Amino acid sequence: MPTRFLTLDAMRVLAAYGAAVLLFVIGGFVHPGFASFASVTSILLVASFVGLVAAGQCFVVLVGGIDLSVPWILNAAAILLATASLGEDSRALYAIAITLGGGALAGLTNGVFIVWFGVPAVVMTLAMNGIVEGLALGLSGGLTCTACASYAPPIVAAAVHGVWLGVPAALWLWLVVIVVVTFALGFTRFGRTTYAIGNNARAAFLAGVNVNLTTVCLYGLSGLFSALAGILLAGFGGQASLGMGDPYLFQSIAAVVIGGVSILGGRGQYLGAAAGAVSLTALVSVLLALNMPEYGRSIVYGVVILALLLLYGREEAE
Amino acid sequence: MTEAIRAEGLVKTFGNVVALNGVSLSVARGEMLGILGDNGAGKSTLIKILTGYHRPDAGQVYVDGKPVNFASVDDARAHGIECVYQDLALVNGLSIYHNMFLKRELLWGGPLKLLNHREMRRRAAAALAEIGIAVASVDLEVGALSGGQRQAIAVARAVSTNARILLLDEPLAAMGAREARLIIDLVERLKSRGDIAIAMIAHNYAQTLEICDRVILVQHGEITFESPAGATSAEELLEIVRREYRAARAG
Repeated sequence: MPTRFLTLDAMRVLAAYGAAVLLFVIGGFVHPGFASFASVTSILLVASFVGLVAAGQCFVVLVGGIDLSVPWILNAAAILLATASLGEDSRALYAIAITLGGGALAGLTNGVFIVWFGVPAVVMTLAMNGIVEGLALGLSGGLTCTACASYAPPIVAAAVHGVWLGVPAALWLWLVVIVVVTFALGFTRFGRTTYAIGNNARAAFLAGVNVNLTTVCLYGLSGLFSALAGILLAGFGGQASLGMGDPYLFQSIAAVVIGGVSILGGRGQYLGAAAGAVSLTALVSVLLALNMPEYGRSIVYGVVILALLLLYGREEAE
Repeated sequence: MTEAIRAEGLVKTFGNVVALNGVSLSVARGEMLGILGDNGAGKSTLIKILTGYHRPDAGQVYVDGKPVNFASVDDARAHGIECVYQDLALVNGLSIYHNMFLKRELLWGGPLKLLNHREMRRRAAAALAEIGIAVASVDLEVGALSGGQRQAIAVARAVSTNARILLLDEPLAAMGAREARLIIDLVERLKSRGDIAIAMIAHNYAQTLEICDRVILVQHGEITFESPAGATSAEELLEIVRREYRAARAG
């Protein structure tokens, strides 16, 4: 049996970090100042939004699922934060609570239908995306309601823009999420259960694991993370806007794949997906620095994902 | 020998298919029972009732002489019943030690309940050594092992929890002679400990008679033949099955 210094999983995580560093170096050559502290921090800040959504996506992909309801759960969360808080600090806590609760509820609903009604994850989460979109547009009159004009509570905006020890607060939050999720997956029973389900749900069931409940919780977490990203984005941009969640579906899945998480489930680390989010954002920034138009960037993302899936699929087959 | 598990008059139907029609059996500690029969005869249904996977329509299971009604697989496990399934029910992508501790992971004390990887590794290695299974490292992924080694890990997992009743569903199926020998040796060592009752589903009559103390033959959901292994032969068993087959064709 060949021995490896590092496991395949660890190599993929390292590769994702290597790609991020490489992209910053390339960016530095292409565009002077790209690799400056301020520039790197702002790229990481943008990556943190992708990274948070990717945390939820990572959970469901690990059990062999997928969450396509990310865009509108995120978007509806941003709208809900603004309309529930009416832009007032005094209502901020209440607004954050019902926004996170709403996101988790949408995610849990996904899980319930997938697990107990046997709806395929792709179909269920796509339907949920449509339902939430309809609810958000309908209830807000296409974002024309009076409350819709509200800004995110200043305290939320200040928290997102705040800087602590030279690092934006949103990045600190992401760092905490990275540590917590990595520990949860690697060092808790919940994590072991998640990997076991993704690898062999029947074996997990026969070992006594509550497969259904765990799966529902994972979808709930995905909804929760999408809502959290929505709150932060609303705070970051000041207001909710229509379509603000759209880029995050593709990017969250891409981050997970780049980070070496198996799209079939059961294998991979959030540490990798986080690096994937950074690589992806750095790639976008490099392409922007090269003045590549939007259509070109879309093509590049698509090609990158395909190439990685082909490469990683081949490694596993060996 | 003291009786470990006994079943009386087990009946199980699926729709209008009668899988079990009044099956009774018992296994004592230190005894090994071979359960023979054709595909679809009801052997797996029988095992699945004993593991709490199915609930019988009628009949009663007793563990240590006390009547038990298993609500779930977990419930049966709590009574010391462990099963090694035909497809092993191992998670190929996880390491040996994670498989051995799946759903009963060891945790550090304290509020965070973090996994105690070090202790799980140590105990997994000790458990494997105790029953004489050699692996290079308990960190190896189960998917990287041979069929015989995987079967051995599955058996090791089952007995590492102080199982007192071990059910094996075709442990020797699709296994080469050398691999089969590994498992037969392992099972015989377990039997000689004297504290475990073992029931094994098998297809190979000669092999089963060699390993087991007693055999039963299940046909059409009923036990049609029972004998100490030494008092019968593969030929006799084959003849019963053949006779039955002829009768079925004639009828």
